[in-house]
Amino acid sequence: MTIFVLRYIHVTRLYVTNTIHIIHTNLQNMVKKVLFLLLMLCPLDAMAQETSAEKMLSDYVKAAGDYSALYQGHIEPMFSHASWVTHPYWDDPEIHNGDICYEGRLYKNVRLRYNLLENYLFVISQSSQLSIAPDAKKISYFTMDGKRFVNTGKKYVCIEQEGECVSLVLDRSKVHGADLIVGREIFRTMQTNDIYYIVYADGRVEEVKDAKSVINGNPQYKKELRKKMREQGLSIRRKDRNSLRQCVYFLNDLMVQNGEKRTETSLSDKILASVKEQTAKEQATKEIQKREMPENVYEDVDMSSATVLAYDTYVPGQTAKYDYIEEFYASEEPGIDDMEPIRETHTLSEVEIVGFLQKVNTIQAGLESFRPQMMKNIPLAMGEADVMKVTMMMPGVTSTGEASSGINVRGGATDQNQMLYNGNTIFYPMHMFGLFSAFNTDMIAETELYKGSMPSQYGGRLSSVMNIKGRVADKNQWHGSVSVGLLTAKAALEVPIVKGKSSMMISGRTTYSDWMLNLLKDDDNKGFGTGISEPKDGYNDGSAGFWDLGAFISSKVGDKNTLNVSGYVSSDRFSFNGQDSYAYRNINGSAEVKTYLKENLSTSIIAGYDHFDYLNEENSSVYSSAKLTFDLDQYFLKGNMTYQLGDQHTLKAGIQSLVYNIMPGKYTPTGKYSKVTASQLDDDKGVESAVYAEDVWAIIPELKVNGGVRLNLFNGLREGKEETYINPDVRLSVSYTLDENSSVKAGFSTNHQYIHKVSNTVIMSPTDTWILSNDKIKPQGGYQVSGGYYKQTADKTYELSAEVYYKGMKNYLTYRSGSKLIMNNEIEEDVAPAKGRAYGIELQLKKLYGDFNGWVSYTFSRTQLQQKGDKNVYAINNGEWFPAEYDTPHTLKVAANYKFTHRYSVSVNADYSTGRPFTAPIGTFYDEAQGMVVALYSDRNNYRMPDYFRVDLSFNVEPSHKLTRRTRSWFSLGVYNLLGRKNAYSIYSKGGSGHIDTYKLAIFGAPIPFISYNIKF
Amino acid sequence: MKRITSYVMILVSLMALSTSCIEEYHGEWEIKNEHILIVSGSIEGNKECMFILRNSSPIDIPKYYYDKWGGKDSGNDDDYSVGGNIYLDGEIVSPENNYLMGAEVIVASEGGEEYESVEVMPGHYSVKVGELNPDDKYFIRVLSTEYEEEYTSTPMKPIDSPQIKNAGWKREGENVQFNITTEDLDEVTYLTWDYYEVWEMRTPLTAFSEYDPVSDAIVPVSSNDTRSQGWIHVRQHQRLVGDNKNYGYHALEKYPLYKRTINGQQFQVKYYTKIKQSGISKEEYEYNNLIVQFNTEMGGLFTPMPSELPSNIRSRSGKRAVGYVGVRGKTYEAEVCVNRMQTGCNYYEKGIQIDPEALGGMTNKEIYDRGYRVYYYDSFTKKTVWTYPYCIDATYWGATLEKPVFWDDLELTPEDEIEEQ
Repeated sequence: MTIFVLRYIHVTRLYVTNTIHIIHTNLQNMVKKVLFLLLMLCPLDAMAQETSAEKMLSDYVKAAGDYSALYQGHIEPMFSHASWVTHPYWDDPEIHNGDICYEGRLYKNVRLRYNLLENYLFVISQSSQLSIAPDAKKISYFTMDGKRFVNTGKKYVCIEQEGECVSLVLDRSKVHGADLIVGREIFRTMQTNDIYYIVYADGRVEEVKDAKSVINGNPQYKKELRKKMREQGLSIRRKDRNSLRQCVYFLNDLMVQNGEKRTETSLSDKILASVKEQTAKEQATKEIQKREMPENVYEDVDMSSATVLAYDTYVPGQTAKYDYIEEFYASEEPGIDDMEPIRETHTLSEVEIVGFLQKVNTIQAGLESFRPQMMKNIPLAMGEADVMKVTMMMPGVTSTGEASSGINVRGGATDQNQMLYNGNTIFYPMHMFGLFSAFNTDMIAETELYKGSMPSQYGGRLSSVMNIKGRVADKNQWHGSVSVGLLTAKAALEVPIVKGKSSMMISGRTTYSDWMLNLLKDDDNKGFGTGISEPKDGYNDGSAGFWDLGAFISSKVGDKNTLNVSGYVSSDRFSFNGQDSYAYRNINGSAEVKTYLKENLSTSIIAGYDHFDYLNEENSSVYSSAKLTFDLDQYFLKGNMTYQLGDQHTLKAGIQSLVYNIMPGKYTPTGKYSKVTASQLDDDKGVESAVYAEDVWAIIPELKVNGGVRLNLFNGLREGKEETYINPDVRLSVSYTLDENSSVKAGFSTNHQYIHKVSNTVIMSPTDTWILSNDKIKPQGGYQVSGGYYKQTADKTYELSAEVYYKGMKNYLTYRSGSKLIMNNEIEEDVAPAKGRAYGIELQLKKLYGDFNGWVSYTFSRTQLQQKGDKNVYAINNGEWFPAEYDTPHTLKVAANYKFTHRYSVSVNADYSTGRPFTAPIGTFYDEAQGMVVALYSDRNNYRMPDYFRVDLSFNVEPSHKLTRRTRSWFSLGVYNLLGRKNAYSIYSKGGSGHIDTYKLAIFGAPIPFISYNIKF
Repeated sequence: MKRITSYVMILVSLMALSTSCIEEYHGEWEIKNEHILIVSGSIEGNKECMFILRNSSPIDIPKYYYDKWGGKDSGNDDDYSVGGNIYLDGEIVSPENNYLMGAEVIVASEGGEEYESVEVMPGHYSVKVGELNPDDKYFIRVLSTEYEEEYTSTPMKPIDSPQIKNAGWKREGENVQFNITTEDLDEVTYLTWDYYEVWEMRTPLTAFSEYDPVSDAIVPVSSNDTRSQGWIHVRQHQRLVGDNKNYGYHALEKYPLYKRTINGQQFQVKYYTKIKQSGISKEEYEYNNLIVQFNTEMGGLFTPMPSELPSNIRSRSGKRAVGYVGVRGKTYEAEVCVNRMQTGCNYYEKGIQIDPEALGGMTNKEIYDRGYRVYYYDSFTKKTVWTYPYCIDATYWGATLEKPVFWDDLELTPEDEIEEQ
């Protein structure tokens, strides 16, 4: 045993000696730079003075909790005490209290510890208790146990003793030591290396080992120093940390007394200088008040539970929110009240704080907002995170089923929702009959859904606006991701074009899904009678596929301008049998210039182009083979202005113009023998313009009003059907804060819509027709009254919301029985304007933090239509109110996540809703002409399908949390429709063979397992 | 890699189980009996118009029948089944024969004309209508004591059909496609077609002898008395409607009407069709389209959602009825005649000859009584060869033995020429 110990000590000593030598050599050059920096940081005060603003910061951070920007970063790797003899931390592995200067702001009383092996400072988040490494580049210094640790760019050094003329700096490092073998067990060890320097005000830096070396380095004070050391009973020879520190302290006193050179910079400037020094290379902005949101903050967040604030900001002197970067943020900052600028030398920028907890603090009722991180843990069809599917998990949002390609928001039809992607309108937002959305999650920064009173800048749709904002790529570093599943594959790349100034995000997706259609049941309908042949109408011989490609370029132009250019292309094709094929495309592009003219005035101008087209080719007979095409083009130009007037008013105004050009249908013969005459419907054109003005008024801190007016002007320009409509809209939202954790809201809004989708199918089909208002088709109009109560717990863990709404609609276009909606130049004769009404209540409870988190929502809602008919139009259901196709009175949704460890988590979704209405065959009759029995249908939507219920489960594994790894990968494994319930998508009937058969179609009739593998770098 | 492949195969196999599901579905609506009046027929001038009135039936008659009786014999004498019809409480529920009897149908006009009906068969009401005034609006009135209601149709002016320029046919794969070409048009036009088919058929065998049950003897059959040749007459079992929107609102050119299989019986010898073209209103066109759609699939993924039929018949109290009574103006007809040589039909039905020894030594009378018929008598072997009735008798195919008077004068229609676009 003795031999073993001695051998161990000898080996250790050799190792330590060699290591110190290596470190010493490598650090020599670095020290010079460090020490210059230290000179800047040598304060007269050991700690930062706590100003009133800093106290407010502390209060804010306390209130913000885990929202604070400080708690963003990688989670600390597991340090196993069982396998380490020593620890990698500064003094001990315990959690200490300290302060952190992060992005120029001092966060006080933060629980932290410094990991020397990783050279990372880890902070313990308040609520989730996770150990997280904030971005080291943004930390100027931190304090721990009364000592200040300064960031050198690569590590932190400790200022053991600060003085005006001389300071003592400890550069400590830890390296892996030799493994310790005890019996059959191997323990890992760490070696601590301490190097002391004294830094003089005149820039000299000397390495010291003990008090003796300090004295020897200052012979002019040798006598006095020895005397003082003796008086204090301190040894000058022993390598004692306390002796050394005291010696430097005495030396500083002597130097001060003798009038030696002192450091000249003040505390504030030193901190500012250090911030600039550290961030100059990383940040493109020169002034803090012009700083934009740090990019890729979300990509650095490895927390799978909840999103956090981008970063903390302060609003000088008032509590109203600002739309500094209007397109990105829409939330109030919690806990801020009568803030003052934190610095005397400059005012802070008016940047809003973004958070998931916004219902309590926003003005608008009915606003839902979420980030891609939230999608990661929701098990979805085919293992792909999908923004549309997540949207459908929100209260008040429904769809007609799994293959639905549109959403119904608070009883509105699918065409009454405007889907915006970087300002572009996506007319058909789904792929593959609604299985995947058109939006690639990799390209998305944030999604907002306005269900109720929407801001005045939005218009042209009755029910909702879904605003999807593109993600800005990292301007400094390349990143990428690849995801492969059983049906789709996607990839994304972030390219810094000009480092620090401009970047490009490019992303693409494709599918290889033909094999799935081949599994569908074939339907052999051979008709009847002798010698009559009918084509097969099953899906078994079908094929389907899609691809999409998106790009987003963001570039800073000068100090005040940002240019964003966005492009998106998607293409879908499918064919159910050899005789019928479909294809459709979305093509979108936009360019936006944002300018910050002054601190309180910003503008944006965006111009763009949207295109949607489809193709349907039919080849059942060579004489009648033809293809049908449809084209929709939309050009738009929008200008917006935001002006902060005083402390209480935020004024917004703008002007917009959209030019529509629709080619409603073109019939072209195909094949050599087709006798179909080429024909084309008259182009449908129109110009929709609007001006709006809005004021966000903080009457008192508790009471905020958002009032706006919008004047719409529509010119229908179809030849022979010209008409002009002028319709004003009102938007009013009121929010009253009961206390810092609860509020009530109310809203009233009107909307008008001039472009209409006409359909007589259950789902939003790509061959649906879009038409513009004209002399016979009046604009759809509607109003909504809504209100709600919102409550969150003090620790922000839980959030409860209860909203009610009532909507009225007019001129909603419903189909007429037997109508022909394709290639119909007189389509006005085949649609019937109807009245509509919708009302409901939405309840939601969210738990945002903890190993277990998620939400549950319940909605009661009704949507009814009425079409009384006139001399030209046959009344539907005798003019009585009847349920709309998407009327679902009861909806219950649950999304839950549970983290077993940092790497393993499980997610569960449950979705229940009342069955949709449908029109049932209630009898039969004999049709003389056809000589067969034909179904007789009930009044429209008089019956209901079976209720819908689905449970999804996924298990997520994140293989690596190592901070130093360049790539990160994870995979998800799960089951969609775990219970295998055959939820009815439609109930339909088929005649022939002398009787009527009714069938239920379930899109997913069995559990669907999925797996996807994702890599990020 | 091998393990990964195995996992993928397992997953794919699991997914192979996850097909979409289509299954039969039954609901409470199936056992309802709504009692709705069904009207078929249209008003045409200078013609005996036939209006057929029926009642609607439950959608699932066996289930209605079963549930009504609690799954057992009802014990009610008025519940019975005869000739394929089901009667419950003495009320017929089978759609085909669920006629409305004892009603009164009147064809009237806003100008005061009235034509009364005669019930010539159960549910069939014949009305002799005179010449229609093109400026007057005509409608029907149905008086029913059963419904205790008076139903009327929407008054409409007679609608003329454009002339038929040509009716033709073309081989397309394994079918013969019949088509129509109208005269030039310059506006939206809606049309309907009725067609009437006649074709000559031959039995697989021609009998040379027959058994006379009176004399109990096998006697020869003259060639003039053979029953191997017949003519089958069929009225269409198909609603045909069309419009000229896809033709630029101009003439319908070679508009496809219907198909027949080349190797079907229709073209065994000679085939004839007479096509009648009538003009209809837009509403009648939509009604007929919907009826056709109702016969296929409604409410599926890409198929239109169903709804009640846009009938033009309603009662005074607003109660709905099903049917569209249109008013026909001028109509036009065209004929097409095609024979076997033209189509290349190789329809063949094998005749079956039965050896009498196979019949187990029965007498001729016994064999005859069992339904067999004589094919021929072999005087050399003294054996009678028997066969099945359908092999020698055309009437067993639904044919008549009487040749239509126009049959020999028919001119063959040449096949449409191939015209490339």
